[in-house]
Formats: sequence, structure tokens, C-alpha cells
Amino acid sequence: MHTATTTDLDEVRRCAQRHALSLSAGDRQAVVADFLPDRWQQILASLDLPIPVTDVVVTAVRPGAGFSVETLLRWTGPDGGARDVRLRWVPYEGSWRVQQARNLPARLPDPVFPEGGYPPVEAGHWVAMNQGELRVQRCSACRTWIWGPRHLCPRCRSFELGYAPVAAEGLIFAWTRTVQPFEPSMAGRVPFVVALVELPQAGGVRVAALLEPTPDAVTPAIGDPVDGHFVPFGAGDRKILRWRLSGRPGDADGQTGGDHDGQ
Amino acid sequence: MASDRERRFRGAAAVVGVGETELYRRGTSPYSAMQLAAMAVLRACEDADVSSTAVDGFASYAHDSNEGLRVGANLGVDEIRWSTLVFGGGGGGVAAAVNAAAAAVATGQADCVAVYRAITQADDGRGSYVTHHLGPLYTAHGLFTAAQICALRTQRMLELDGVPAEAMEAVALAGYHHAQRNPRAVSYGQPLTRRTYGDARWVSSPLRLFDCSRENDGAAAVLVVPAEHVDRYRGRPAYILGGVQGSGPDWSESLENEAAYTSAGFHRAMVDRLWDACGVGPDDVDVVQLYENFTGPAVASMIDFGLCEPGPAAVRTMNVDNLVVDGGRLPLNTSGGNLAEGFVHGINLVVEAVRQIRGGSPNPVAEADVSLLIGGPAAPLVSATVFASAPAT
Ligand SMILES: [Zn+2]
Repeated sequence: MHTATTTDLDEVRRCAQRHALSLSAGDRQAVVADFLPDRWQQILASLDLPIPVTDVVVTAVRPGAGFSVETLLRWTGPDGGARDVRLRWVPYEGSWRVQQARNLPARLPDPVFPEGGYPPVEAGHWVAMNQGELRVQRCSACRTWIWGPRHLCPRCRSFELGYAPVAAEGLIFAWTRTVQPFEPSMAGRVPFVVALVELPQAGGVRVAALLEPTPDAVTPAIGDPVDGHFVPFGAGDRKILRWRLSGRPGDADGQTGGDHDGQ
Repeated sequence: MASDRERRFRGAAAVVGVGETELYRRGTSPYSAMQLAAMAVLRACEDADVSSTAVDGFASYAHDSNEGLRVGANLGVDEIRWSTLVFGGGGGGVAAAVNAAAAAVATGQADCVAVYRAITQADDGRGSYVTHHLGPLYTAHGLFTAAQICALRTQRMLELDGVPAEAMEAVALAGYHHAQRNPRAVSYGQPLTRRTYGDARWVSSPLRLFDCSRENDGAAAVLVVPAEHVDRYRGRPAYILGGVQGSGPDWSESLENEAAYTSAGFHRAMVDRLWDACGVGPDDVDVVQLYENFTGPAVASMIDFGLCEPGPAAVRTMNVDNLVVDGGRLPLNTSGGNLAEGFVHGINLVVEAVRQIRGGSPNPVAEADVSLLIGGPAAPLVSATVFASAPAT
């Protein structure tokens, strides 16, 4: 496996220092020119940065995966608030360009609820979720597990539906690593992995949630066992389900880049 | 076996005119969505050589904000006899709107129905394609877009069913190949190489940039009339042999709990019903317009229809050489498709499916007699229509 040479590291250090100067000077054209040409829009939209930026310094340069070199930059804003960003540089037309950027430490997106909250039919799920419990819909008459929520039982047509607790344990049924920041709230919080998890103890219904650890340290496989846990968000009085690969330590705060090319 | 009702419907309606507006980069149309809708209908009437005042029916799909009655009023038609909007399903409703119009004219409810779809970002907002779909059970967990949903389904299709990712690449490359002969296409003059496709940035794995359609402002329309009236209109009619729409068991409202999760939603009974009703089979299809919101579900559609082998063998059909009009056995998305021509919720695919029979395609398939339109895959509602050069085969 290829590792960056001392010459590579020196070259990238110079690129990163020039990049930091361009950033501090607010020279947008020069900043954009440091990214791979088809990447700069996605990368800039995916970062959470102080605006305006008052100072940028290069705090580390080290070999990354394959031919890449990683630099750590610290951005400071007018209020003194700092953001650490990891840039991955790759060789491009005789020089180096940024292929990937990450806010450190890695953070996952916060839950987003539409205005007006959730539909009444989902209440049993969300009320339990805030108390750290996974509940899914279950027919009181024929005991069929139902997901997503329905207004009557599609098996026996009973209108008596409830929410029953189920152990937050299951197997990955499908997954995706989202890199595009689709929402402004995703700035600084991409990439992330969503896992759709089959719950054997609830008739095999599938429940989607974010997967930890994340974002770069894990490439899951369908069939991998996961456990759920509930993390606080917002003012701290609410909780949201997160899946975590069973038997793996919980992050790895995204310090290392991993070798998938999830830009 | 086709029922008597299905046989009576076979070839009872035809498309006699098509119209399209320019495809604008999203947010840049100088016209409102209503103006674009009307413009598309006017151009379809011109193509058919009929007065626009004679249009007496309107059909659209996917929460089109331009109600048929308002389109008719703006056009100043003589009378509106019939109009409908297909429930939900996003682009899954595109062929269903054609089928509904065919049913209306075949049963005497109307004589000349415009099937249309018009979108501008100014009128419809961003992401109008998935309006009403993704509630908090998605958005609380980072899922905001159809791209991510389709990515989940595609990942399982690749990882578990063993469909090679090259099958997805073939859909993109075929569309871009065909778009190079279509000056209207947004990617005209921008050919796509395998290298560019594979090096492109991730959107949501396993989907990269060129696996995803880009929203455009624009509109298109086709005119559906009873088969016995086709001589009143100019040009060669494209007969509607049959169509299907619907949702299989455990499909809609399932929050990623669909039973056949890697299917595009065209379940076996639906596909068999289509072939039976039309009196043709997958081997008779000369050309396909395949709705590719994303390449993964597009491949799943081909598998559902029996047009392509399931699993690892999918690439026997889904390779770019086989999918291009120049020597391919099954030309696909011959005007560029949603990916390379432009994306107005799939309505341009209807126009191209008709042009393969009627004439005027930028990439005509020689002696095409059966032209298949496959509507939006992996949606709560899916639909398809078969067009043909003759009312029965
Ligand atoms: Zn029941």
C-alpha cells in the first residue's frame, strides 16, 4: 500500500499554508481553486465554519490513505470560537487538491421534525422514544407487528392498535452513507450512515436510524448485528434512537480518514 | 389470458401529438409553470394539426400544481369534459396518467385529452418531486430525500442480490450517449465517460452524481384520442396497447418495510397483466423509455419486467453496447432520459416513447413497433404503458 513520502508531506504543507492564507484573506477564488474542480461546492456546503473567519492555522500534516495527505486546520471566528477541519489532499495535475473535508470531532445530524411535530398516529412511538424506549405499532387483536404506522390492522382489520416495546436489537437490512449535505442543518455533519435494521423480535419489521460509530470509521455489511441506544438532543429532554454495530467500541471520533473515498 | 375488457381496450386509444417546452436549468424558466403547461399543450396541438380549443380533457400526476381545469381555462378551450390527477407516487404516476386518458377516450368520456406535467422551481419549490412523502420517521434519522431512500434499496440490490454496479453505469452511459444527438438535452455536448462516471462525487452511496437525475424547469404534453379518430389528426399515431398502474401487497405506506424491497415495485402479477393485456411479451419490446430517478431503481425495473436477468447476470442486458441505438439489442432512453435529457418528473419520457413510433426521435430505432414506457420506480405507485405502431399485434 502506498504511503505519502516526506516530499509529499512538505508539498502539501506548503499548499495548506497557502490555503490558510487565502482563507484568512477572504480570497474566495484562490480558496475554490484548492479543491478538486467538481468538488468545491459540495465540500464547502458540507462544512460548519465560523463566518467571517478571522484566522486559519495549519496544526498538523500527516500521511492519509493511499496517495493522500491529510492536514488539520483550525479556523477561528470573531468570537474566538474555533473549528477543527481535516482536509484530504490528493495529487492533481502536478500539484495537490482537496478531495475531502471534515469537521472534527465528527458529529451526526440532529433529528429534524416538521413544523407541527409528528402525526398523531405516530405518538406512541415518539413518546416512548423520548423516554429511551423503542416501541412499534402492534395490533391488539391479532398481535401482528405493523410498521410504518397504520390506522387499522391490515391483517385482521381491527381498529384497536397499540404501541408495544421491543428490544432495540437487530440486523442491518440496508444502509447508505450520505455525503451530499441535502439540508443546511447537515453542514458539519456529513457524511453519515443510515442503517435500516430488521427487528427479529418484532416480526422482522425494519426501523431506520443513524449508525454509529461514524462517519468514516465504519463500512457496515447487510446482516451485521446492531444494538440501539438513545442519545439526548435539543434541550436535552428528548432522545433519539441510534444504531451501533454490536461488539464495536463507540467511536473513533472521526480522527482517522478511513480508506473509502466518501468525499 | 387477457380478458374481453382488456382486449377491447387494446389499441382503443392513440397519441396523435406531442409537445415540449425548452428544458431550463431549475429556477431559471422565464415562464410560469402554468405558461409552460399551456405551451406544451399548444405545441402538441400544432404537432397533431388540431385547434387547441378542441382539447376537452386534462390529466396529470404527482401533485401537479396546474389543475386541469385551470390549464383548460387558460387555453380558452371550448369545453372541458373530463380531468383527473393520479394520486401520489411522484414519477410513478406518469404512465398512469396516460392510461387514465386512454380509458377516458376509449369509453367516450372525452375526445382529446392532454396528458401533461409542468414544473418550475419558482412555482413548485425545490424537491417538488417528493412532496408529502418523507415524514419525521425519516427526517429524524437524517433521511430527507428520495436519493437516500433509493440508495438504501440499491445497496441491498447490489450487496445481497449481487446485481453488478456496472448495470447502473450502463443506464447512465446509454442516456448520455443518446443525448449527444439531442440538441434539446441539458447534457448535449457533454458526453459522459466511464472514468468521469466512476470518479464523480458521492451523493449517498452507492449513488454517485451521475446516478441521480437533476431537476429542470419545463413541461411536456401528449394528446390522447380514440383510435377511430386518428385520421382527423396529422402524422402517424402511436396506439396504446395497454397499461398498468398500482402497488403490490405490502408496498405503499410501508416505511421501508416493502416485502420485495429490492424490486422497483412492478410485482409479478402487474407485469403479467400488462403483457397479457397488450398481447406482447418482453421479447417483443423494441425500445424502452425507463424512468431513472436514480440508476439503481431503474435497473430494478428492468429486472421486474423480465427485460433483464436478475442478480449477477443483469449485465448481460444492462451493458452500454446493448442499450444504445447504434447496434444495441434493447435501446434505452433514446432522447437521453431523465439523467441526460432533463428531468421534469418523467413527462419527456412519454414524448420520446411516442416519437419512437410516430417519428421525430433524435435516435430513431429502425422499424420500432413496440415502445415501452416504464414510470417512476421504487415509488408508492408505479405504472407503465405500451405504445405500438398498430392497434393490435
Ligand atoms: Zn390485527
